[in-house]
Amino acid sequence: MGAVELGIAITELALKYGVPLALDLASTWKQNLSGREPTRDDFEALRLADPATFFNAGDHGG
Amino acid sequence: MRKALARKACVLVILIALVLPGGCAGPASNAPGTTSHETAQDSPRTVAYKSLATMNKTYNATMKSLADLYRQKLVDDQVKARAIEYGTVFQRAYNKALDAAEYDDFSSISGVSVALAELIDFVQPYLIKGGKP
Repeated sequence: MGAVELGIAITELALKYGVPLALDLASTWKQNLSGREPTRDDFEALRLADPATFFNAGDHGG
Repeated sequence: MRKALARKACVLVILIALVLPGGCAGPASNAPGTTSHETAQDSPRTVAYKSLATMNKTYNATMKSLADLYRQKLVDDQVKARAIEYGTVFQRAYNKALDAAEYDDFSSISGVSVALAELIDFVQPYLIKGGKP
């Protein structure tokens, strides 16, 4: 793996995930849950998935 | 000596990050049922929710990025294993913080403090080992 390849991949990822993340976070802080207090269900929806599940979606495959 | 101070600083930062949104973010200015989107200050519960949502989205973007790099074969199995290892520590600590934030009565400190104590118990060994799982 070359440093250039990795650099390009990281740039692609920044565009693919970084920009939507920034927009998403800005919207999270701007909105106010439609003006209501967060409920237990709102918090429950924030529970994180096991990190392995992100990788299991597609393995190296050889 | 410096390591011990660094550990204490880490514990302090975690406590501040958890306690500030939960209990010390100032008086709630938007009462339940308020419909205004332009409230000057969110309630502590809303700030806690937004803080956790921020961490949630950051974690998801990070793990998706790493999984993408792995699929493109730009990182190897060793990096994948470390990502899962560190991700698991973060996920468990975060979910414990979520347990604390889920209490309906935010002013009731007993349930929150139990969850926070569990979180500190969970995080402490990693701090002692210099942040390594």
